[in-house]
This record gives sequence, structure tokens and C-alpha cells, in this order.
Amino acid sequence: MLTSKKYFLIVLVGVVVIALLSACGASSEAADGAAASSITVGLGTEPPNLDPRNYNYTAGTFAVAWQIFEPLVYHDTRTDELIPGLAESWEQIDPTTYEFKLRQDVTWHDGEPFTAEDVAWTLTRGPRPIQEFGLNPDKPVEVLDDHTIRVYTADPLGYFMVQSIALNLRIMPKHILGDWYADCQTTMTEQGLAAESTGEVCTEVEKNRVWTENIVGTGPFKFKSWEPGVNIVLAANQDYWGGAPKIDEVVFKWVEEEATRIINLESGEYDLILGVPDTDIERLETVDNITVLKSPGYGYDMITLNEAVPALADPRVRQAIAYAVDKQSLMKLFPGVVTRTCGPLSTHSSFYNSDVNCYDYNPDQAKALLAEAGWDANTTLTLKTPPNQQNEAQLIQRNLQDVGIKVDLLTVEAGAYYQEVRDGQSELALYGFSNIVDPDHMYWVFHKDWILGTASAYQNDTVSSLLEEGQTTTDQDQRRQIYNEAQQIIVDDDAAAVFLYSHDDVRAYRTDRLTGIEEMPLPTDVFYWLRSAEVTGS
Amino acid sequence: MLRIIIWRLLQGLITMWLVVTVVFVVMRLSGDPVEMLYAGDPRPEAEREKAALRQALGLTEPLPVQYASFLTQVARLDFGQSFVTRRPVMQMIAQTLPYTLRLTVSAFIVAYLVALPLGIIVALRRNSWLDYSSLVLAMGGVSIPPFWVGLMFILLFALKLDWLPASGVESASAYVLPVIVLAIPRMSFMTRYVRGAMLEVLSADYLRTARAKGLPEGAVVTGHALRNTLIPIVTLVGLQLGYLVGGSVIIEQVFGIPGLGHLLVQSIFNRDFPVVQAAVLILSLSIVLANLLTDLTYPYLDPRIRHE
Repeated sequence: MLTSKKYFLIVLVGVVVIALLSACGASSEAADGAAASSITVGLGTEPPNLDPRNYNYTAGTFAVAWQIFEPLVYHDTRTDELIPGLAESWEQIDPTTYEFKLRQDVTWHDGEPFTAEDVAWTLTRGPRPIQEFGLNPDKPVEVLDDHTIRVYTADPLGYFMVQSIALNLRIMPKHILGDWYADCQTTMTEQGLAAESTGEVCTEVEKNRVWTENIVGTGPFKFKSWEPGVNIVLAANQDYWGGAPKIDEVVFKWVEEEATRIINLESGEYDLILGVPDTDIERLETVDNITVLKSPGYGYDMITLNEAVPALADPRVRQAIAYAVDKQSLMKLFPGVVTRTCGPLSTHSSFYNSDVNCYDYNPDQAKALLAEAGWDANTTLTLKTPPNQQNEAQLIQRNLQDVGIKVDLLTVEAGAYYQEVRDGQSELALYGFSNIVDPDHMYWVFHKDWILGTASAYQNDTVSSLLEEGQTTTDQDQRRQIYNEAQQIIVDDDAAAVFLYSHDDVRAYRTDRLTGIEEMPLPTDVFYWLRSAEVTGS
Repeated sequence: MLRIIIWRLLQGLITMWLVVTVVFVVMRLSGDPVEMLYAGDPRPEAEREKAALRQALGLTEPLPVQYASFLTQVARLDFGQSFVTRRPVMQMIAQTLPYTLRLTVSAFIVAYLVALPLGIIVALRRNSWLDYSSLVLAMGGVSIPPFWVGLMFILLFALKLDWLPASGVESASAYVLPVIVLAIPRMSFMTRYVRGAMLEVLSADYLRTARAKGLPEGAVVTGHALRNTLIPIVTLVGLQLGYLVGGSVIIEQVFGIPGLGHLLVQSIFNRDFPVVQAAVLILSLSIVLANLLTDLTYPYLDPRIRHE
């Protein structure tokens, strides 16, 4: 009897000791050498990697990676101006040729000099970048000297500087990645992968091997450490060509639960957070020492109307639907953080055509149009939504029922949702875009051959040729006219979709900790201003 | 004894095989991981890349072939690479496991440290105010969702009182809130359970005998009653551990703990098959092992089982 008691005691004591030891272990791991000035940024999820050109878009990846890697030029979305980055000047020599003069005073974080070879390698390291940037496959780039490079596009590209160069191109170090990339291609070929696929696989699939350690860029902050699951630490680049940042260290942490993230900001655990839930914005604005930063969003939400569905083929029916939806009520679901947009661009874009018909809420007009089109009241349409947009869907359903259109709601899990809509398996669907910096985006959505074009079966030859023209015109004023006309047809004549609003980008920070944070100078560049921000409190 | 252990292990293996097979099939029915990786990529080249990627990830093989290679991998204790991070799955799991172990083991200890003495005390003071208030608390503890309790605790202890951090794993204090929140439902349930088991034993004939032969009440309770109460309680340990591991999935999400549950949820969303399969395997292994340990403990508590 005593033995079994002892046995139990020993087990119990043992377990307690182990638990305590492991708890101590946890505390000693927290050896973050407190830098002179350090701030903590709260993200939603841990970035999967720090690839600066990651298509699997997570805001967190960019928040971190874009501090480390830089583009040749920055684009100020508000003024449509290009700002020098790694290139101090550039020139369009002819419709398909661009020459960039690079800064001479830039070094990589490991001390190696930055040269035109790095730019050339980043642009041509595989078939994918050449195609992605629209470069001439026979002669994509030409290095004139260490700090001058010419880039040749296959066709004249209207969006080249803004979309390809400013938004999508972050220069990567050839001296670090060059050999790795070649090795990867050899390995993949040995594993039996078709030769023309190795480039893509090495760029996309294997990227996490290189993008989680030994990360070397040219930006204002350099990679210091990454403890998986816990944090990523960046340190100020004292040799930054634009001047050393005033913050010595930026610690990125993450917590999935939005409520916890916000409490962490309120309690001072975090100094700055990315992703504030719409429902918390109004309350946070009243909290002392916290400022909510709203910057204009460059995307938009819409209801897609699949014209392949017979009931939606008549443009009058689509216009009726556009009139029937009460956009102002929908916007009340996101108080203060959405801006109404009447066409397929954010109103903040300089290419936005403000003369298009806004289809202001008008149920009578909708009923009249339906009667004119001979709408069959027995027809039922299905509105597909991702799980987080059910509130919107219910309002829309009620709006449409008010004018005599029966609507069923169908919620589809997010992963399958976008695929189904793009495959044309939807009648009405809620769809949205973010970070549209160039009107060429319309080509993806409304051109007859394009993926969303097929989803909504939108087939307008005039619009398609306008969008092709806009893509290959490099004179921006000329482009503006082309896109004005395209928007007019898409919205006014065809009512190709119901355009709703664009969401502002919302962040919040502690004013007792950080100063020098202006309104986002570059809305699409997450945390661009960290380089000029200062830490005040303790 | 050895035969029992071997038999139990065999049963455990079969259970785990069933679990892993179901997960394997269900995950593959749930969607295409490559589609998730490329979600929202509208370029036409994306289709070609997706095809290359599927080939590279071995998703183009027929399902039985995939299953066979998966089982060989498991037999070699190699779970391959994550589709999303491309890191070895074992390494990812090894990274998350300590956090989950700290959380669940601590919650387990807290739950039992409270539930055992409290259950005994309320059994001895049956129908007292202590008994009734513990009943009310226990009902609340079992029925209020831990998710909500977690958020309320964060509001109170992290924000209003500023005593403890709301999330993170960098200090021992960060574990206090999640451990308590995770322990509460188990604690509540076990208190009621211990009380019931104790009451049953207290009314048994052999206790009357013990009292009759003049043993002091303390000795009766600790020497005779407690030991017999432990048998049904220990039976539940394995089950409780299962609940704790399941509960930790939500708690890790709320408190930002990068544990196994968190990894599992994320991997399910990403259709990261290798990680989901390995994580579920580890979870089922832990529950099988806990139950095995429970079975092995009986003989120490009940000599009758030892002799059989």
C-alpha cells in the first residue's frame, strides 16, 4: 500500500518538476537583447516565408520582406508619381526599351556591392520572371556597366513602370541566390521534373528553403533572427543609403485571434498592428494613446453577374440588379472604412472615371427595367459568397427580393470559392480585389479571354480591344482616355457587374510610443514609413 | 503483463492506422492544395505552373499509389515536406510540440491539483454551502465555452489589471492564462466526478468496518476511501488528456501559442496534407499512449487486477 502511494507521489512530483522546468526553459528562451529603441509589430499570421515577390499574398510577408528588399523605383499611388529607389534615374528610350541608372552607394546587408548584375539576375533567373515582367525572351536585359542596365519588353507595355517595376520587382542578391537557384534546377531535373518546369518550381516551390534564413537585401532594415512560431526580428541597417532608420529594432509577432491582437495593442504589448477588424475601429478611435490609421484602399468589391446564365443575358436585367442593390446600406456594415466606387477601379486611382453611372439605389427604376425585359418572376438566382461575407449577401438578397428577383444564398468555403467563381460555376457572386495600382487590372477581369471574363462570360469586343490597346500604350494620357471609355461601356452600357466600394487599409498604433508616422505615403507599400518613424516612450 | 502491453500496443496501432487512413482520404476529398497556394492568382501561366507543382508534390499519382507511399513514409517515420513551407514535417512538429506539451501537461496538473482535494472535501461536506457553490461553479466551468472565457480573462487580467501578457510564449507568465482557461472545464468535471466516486466509496461496507475498528476519520478517508476512489478517476485520465489536447487547439488560437493545435488548424486550411497527417498521427499516438499508461497503472492501485 505504501509503495503504491509512493509511486503516485513520485509520479506527481516528477510531472510537476518537468512542467516547471519546461516553463523555466520557456522564460530563458526570451533572450531578446533589448535594443536601444525597439518596437513590436503585431501581425495576424506568421509569414510563411520572406519572399518579397510572393504570390501567395499575405500582408505579413510584405510587412516584413519589404523592409529588407527594395524596388528600383517606388510608385506613389496617390499622385501617380515614380520615386527613385535603387535606381536614381530612368528613361524610356523607345516603346520597348528602358534604361535604369542605379545608385552607386548601395551595398547588400552582407557588405557586397549592389550592381546591375543583381538586377539582371532577378529579372532573368528563370522563364517565369521574364514572362511575368513581359520581357523580350530573346534579349531581356543588357548590362551596360556596373550601374546601368537596359530592360527590353516584348511589346510596348503601358503598365510596365508602375506594375512590373515598382510593384512587382524587388531586387534579390545574385551572389547569394545564384548558385542555389542553379543547384535547385539540377536537383529538380534529376528528380524527373520536366526541364521547362524546373524554373517555376525552383522559384515558387522551393523558395521557402531560401526565404527563411540567410536573407540578405538592401533595405532600411536587415534580417536578424526568426524563431518559428514566436517572432521575426529586424535590425536597423546603419549603412542604409537613404540614412539609417531611427528605430534600432523591429520585432514582428503574430496572433491569429483579432480580439487578442487588439488587446495586445491596448495593453502596450504591441506598438503597431496590422489588420483591425471593422467592428473594432470605432471603439479603438476613442482609446487614449491609440491612433487608427486609415489609408485609401486600392481595390474594390463587386457582385459578379454571369452572363452565360440566360436570366442574366439581358443588359436591362443586369442594370435592374445594379439599381436594386442598396449600396449605402451595405456600406453601413463597414462604418467609416469603405469608399463607394461606381466602376472597376478605386476612386483613389487617377484612372478612375467619375462620370460613370453609379446606379444609385432605385428600386422603382429596377422594377421598370425588369418589366421592360420581361423578367419571369419564377426565376431564382443563386448568390454565392465566401463565409465571411454572409451579412452582405443577406442584405443583397433582401434588396433583390424587394424588386421581384428571388435569390438563394450559397456559402462556399473560401478555398473552393474563388476557384468555382473563376470556373464560371456561379450566377451572382461576391468578389473583391485589393492593391490595384494600374488600370490594366481591368484586362484580367473584363477581357473576353481572361479568367474572370470567362467567370462572368463577359464578351464585349470593343471593351476587349480597348483593354488590349491600354495595355500596349505607353503614353499615360492616351491610356487615361482609353480606360475612361472602357469604364463607360463596362458600367453604363453593359452593367457587367455591380460595383460596390473599396475597403480602406486600416492599421492602429500607439501614439505614446511612435511618432513620425505620416499618412501612408505609399498605400500599397505596407509599413514604408517605418524607416522614418521614431520611438518616443519606453 | 507483457502480453497485455503487447496486445494493447497492437490495438493502439490499429486505431492509429484507422485514424490516419480516414484523415488521408478526407483531406484529399476536401480540396486541392495547389489551388490554395495559388488562390487569387489570375495569370494564365498560373495554370501551367499549378500542373508543374502538382507533379512536383506527387499529387498527380493515383490515390492508392499516394496512399502506399504515404504508409511507407510513416513506417520510416519520415513524413515528407510541408506543401506550404517546404520544410520537413517532423521538424515543424518538433518545433510546435514543446508549446503544446507545456500547455496541456500544466493544465492537466492544475486541473487535478484542484479537482482531487476539492472533490474529496465537498464529498465529505455533502449538502453544505461549499458543496452547492462548487456545483454551480462546476456547471459553469463545463458549459461556458473556453473561447469566451479566454477572451474575458484576457480583458480582465491583461488589459484592465495588466498583470499578465495576453499572448506569446516568451515568458512563463504568458502561460498562466491559457493554462487556467484550458484547465477550467476539466477541473470542473473532475471535481464533480471525484465527489461522486468518493461518496460511493464512503457509503461502502468496508468503510463502516474501518470506522468500527476504531480508525480515526482522517485515516479512514486517506487510507481506505481515497485509494478506492482513485481507480475510477485514473480510468478517466486518458480520456481527460484527450479532451485537453482537443481543447488546446482553440486555446492556442486565442492566446497565440504556436503549438501543435495551431499548426493543425492552419494546415487544414491550407490543405497541407503531409502536416495534417503527421499532426493527427502524433495526437492519436499521445492519446493511445495515455490510455496505455492508464491501463498499466491499475495494478498499482488495485491488487486484484495485478493478480488476474
